[in-house]
Amino acid sequence: MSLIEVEHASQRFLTRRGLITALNDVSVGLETSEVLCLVGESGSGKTTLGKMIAGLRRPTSGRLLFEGKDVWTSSTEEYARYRRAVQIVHQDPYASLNPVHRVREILGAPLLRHRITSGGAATEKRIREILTQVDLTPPDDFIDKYPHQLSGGQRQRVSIARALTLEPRVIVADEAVSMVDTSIRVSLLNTLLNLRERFEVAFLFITHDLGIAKYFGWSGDTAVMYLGQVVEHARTRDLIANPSHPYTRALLSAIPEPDPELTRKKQKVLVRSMEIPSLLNLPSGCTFHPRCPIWESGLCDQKAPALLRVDDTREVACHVVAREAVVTR
Amino acid sequence: MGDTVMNHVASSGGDIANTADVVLSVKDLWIEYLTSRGPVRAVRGATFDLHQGESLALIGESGSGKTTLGLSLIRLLPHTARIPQGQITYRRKDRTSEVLSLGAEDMRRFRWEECAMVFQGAQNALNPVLTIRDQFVDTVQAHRRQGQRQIHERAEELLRLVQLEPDRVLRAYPHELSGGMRQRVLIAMSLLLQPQILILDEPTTALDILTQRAVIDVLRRLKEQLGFATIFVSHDLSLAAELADRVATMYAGRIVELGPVDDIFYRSAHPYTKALLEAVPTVVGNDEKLISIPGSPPDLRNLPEGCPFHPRCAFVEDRCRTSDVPVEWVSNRQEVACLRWRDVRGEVKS
Amino acid sequence: MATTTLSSNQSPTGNPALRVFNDVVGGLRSAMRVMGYNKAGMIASWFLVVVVVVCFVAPVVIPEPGPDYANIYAAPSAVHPLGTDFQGSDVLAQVLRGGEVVLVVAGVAAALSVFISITLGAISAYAGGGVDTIITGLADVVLTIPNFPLLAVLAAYLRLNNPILLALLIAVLGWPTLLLSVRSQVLSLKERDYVEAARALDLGTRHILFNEILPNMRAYIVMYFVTSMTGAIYAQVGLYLLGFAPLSGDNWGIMLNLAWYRGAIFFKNSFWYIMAPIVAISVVQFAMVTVTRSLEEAFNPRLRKEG
Repeated sequence: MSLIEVEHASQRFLTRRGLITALNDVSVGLETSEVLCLVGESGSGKTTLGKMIAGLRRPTSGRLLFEGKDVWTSSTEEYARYRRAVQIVHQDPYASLNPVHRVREILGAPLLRHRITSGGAATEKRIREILTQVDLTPPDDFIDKYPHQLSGGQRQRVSIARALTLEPRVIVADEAVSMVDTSIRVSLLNTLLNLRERFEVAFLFITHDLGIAKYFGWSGDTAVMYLGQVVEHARTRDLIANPSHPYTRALLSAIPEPDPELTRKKQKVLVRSMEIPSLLNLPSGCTFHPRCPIWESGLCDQKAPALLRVDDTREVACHVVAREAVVTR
Repeated sequence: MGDTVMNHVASSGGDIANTADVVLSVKDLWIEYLTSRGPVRAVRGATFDLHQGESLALIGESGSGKTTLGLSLIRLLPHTARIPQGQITYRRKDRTSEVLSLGAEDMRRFRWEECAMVFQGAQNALNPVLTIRDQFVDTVQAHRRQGQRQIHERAEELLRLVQLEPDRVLRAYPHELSGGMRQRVLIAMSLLLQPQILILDEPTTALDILTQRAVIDVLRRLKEQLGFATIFVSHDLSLAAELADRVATMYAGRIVELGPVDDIFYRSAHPYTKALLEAVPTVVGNDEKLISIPGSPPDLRNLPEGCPFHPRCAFVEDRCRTSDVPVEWVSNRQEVACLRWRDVRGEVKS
Repeated sequence: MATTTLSSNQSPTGNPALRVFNDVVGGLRSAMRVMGYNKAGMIASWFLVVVVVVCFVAPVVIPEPGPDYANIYAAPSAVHPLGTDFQGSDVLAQVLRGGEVVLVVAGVAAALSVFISITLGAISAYAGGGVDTIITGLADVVLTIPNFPLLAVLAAYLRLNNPILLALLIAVLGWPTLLLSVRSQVLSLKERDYVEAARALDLGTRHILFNEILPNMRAYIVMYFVTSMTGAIYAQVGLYLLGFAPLSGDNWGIMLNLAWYRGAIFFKNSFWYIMAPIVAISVVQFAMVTVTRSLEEAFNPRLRKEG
């Protein structure tokens, strides 16, 4: 039984301009201590899926299961357990901490509220422990600071510390390092990886940066999303070394690399159109077909491909790829 | 060995001996911001030359001063900024002008006709109530007397160069176009008056991967076809790797290293440049060991004595903490501000 | 060096009233700090402080000026720097003593208005849905009715003989505008990342409203309060002038009323009797408006002309 299971979840919003389908029949799972990277561009639905798994958005249809139980129809007790077990770290270090609170209050509030510690001394001791766990040492240097007195990277660590106060089983990191200086991203990622090892926390790591996904998700899986659907889901190292879905291949080839020779020699996979379709008006059949270099008329524009297992550790949603996989087997 | 194309690019851009083709020369530029707690120096003694048709990337992170430096070149700094020292010299054919002493009218002409800028978050820089065509016309007519027909033709030409369909785009309003399309429209608009220099501030940040790729390819093609000089201001090393002929890395307001792109990437002489390269992953490259730079970004109000990078430097020595660091030549094309640059190149750490 | 206990007024499960009080004090302090950037605001705030002190000290220190029928509508002199009124009483003394009631009533009305609008505004914005519709609907209804005429009619009908009742009446009609501002503030703060994190941490609605959202509105609460006061002063003075408010005592409003109805405009030397309360009221209002504007500039950097 997976720790978290999303079953055929869809998220639709009715706006003035029409019906937006942010997520369309998505199914993913997350095991204890696992790392799953969600990669995609804007409109892919990765943030919506992340917030859904974090319990901050209720799916329009489909189910979210925590330890096998449907979160939205469970008892108060079960829901409370889920609520504590899944936490979120936001993207913007300047918006994720309340500017009127010191670190002491930010971390103390959940500890006291849920009676994890009681009294000032015990709470402070625990706060110091957690600050050390996120590499904000010495803790005394940080405990009485306000957010504006901290750098972006330090704020993100406080965000992570806050998520840790309830000893979660899952942390949803929504672009958690995107707004931090490139030179310190890796150390933040290392902190997260350490936490995973020590406390067996599973991570849902949302990013648009495949380089970061590769580093963080190296021992786990990556799911590539496009216009509200998962188009490929495989072990990260396999996905990067050998992408299957034409969209994944286009993405990997399009990324500029911090290495002049590498980047100028990279073989580019061309997409047929630069325009991303609007979520109000999704293309028929496979949503990627208007841009796909290998699409087939009559098939890809008529029928939406299902996410099929093409080998032990990889799922792809593409008619052409699925057919070739069957043929080669 | 190397690609002949790349050798050509590297040598034509980096040959400083040929001063005849310098179009912009910045000397010892200092810029400070007035705050309630006293002046904060955002740029300290920046010096570099931009040659005709060359692409220079200014790479830096928060507190580096790169955006301030970029804005200062067309004097678009906010009211609170002061330039206590320095020169910006612009040269076109045989005439030179000191940008910092230009009057209002000359400055207006300089901006856009000689040197245009595409801003960060440019997608929102378009007027939402005018069609793209009207904005093109407005831009040109503000500077020259030209008929609409002529402007229209040029606009079409430029839009095709940036891979957009002129018919569709000219008739549209900004909100009808995607972020990537608006970025390209702005690039096209900046080229309307055929400037010699184009400054781009974070042109690909906040864009999706595929859109980024389109913008990068467009910029490369434009440079090849129109031959203008470019300055990219960015934190993204990959952008420099893609498009730059020369790269300058900045830290705490100083240019700490400057040289041809290959030298900077493969033979860097400054610990910051080196550390930055080691902190950024490649995607399709091989497995490398990634290491963050320890410490925090510099606090410009409170810089340490000596070299501003020393608290985070893997090559730090006692003298780094106390003495000023002069700029030295590594080769006739690469310069660096580091006392231990020989060791950096030879990898002898402290 | 670091304290070993969390201070009690930061406790997340503490007394809401105490927390609100702390927020107000905090708001005042941050308001004062922030106004340092704006000279006009600084001067205006200090001026207001002086006015408030004078208005509360004067009635204690200066005795009620008695009538002096030999000296009615006297011109300004050394003994009566602003002349005398229709009974021969010293005008200056009346002006100095006349601010207290006005300020107290305005203060009470403003406090009540702010309290009602914050409570209803926060609930309306956070709960959303039906509750929101009902509360904003109610606010809209009260807003549509012309404020002052209704106030006047109610005042006449209710025969107010108590300044606190007057304050209540003004507050009851004044809260809708504030509510809409509070509501829109809360709506935007509700979407902040740190509020979302608080929801994920299951900190509870009470905590989120009182500890996460309201403290970020401290400065605005001060602004709402000052704005409310200016409105309340206008309303009061209007009612006094028309005779719908209790006419005992000698506050500025009553001075105006008496000046008008006792024919002060027909006397050459009564200029100061009429002008004194008008100047007093205008100057106080102006100072308050300046304070509000400078606070607004301070909190909204885009309004600033210089960095």
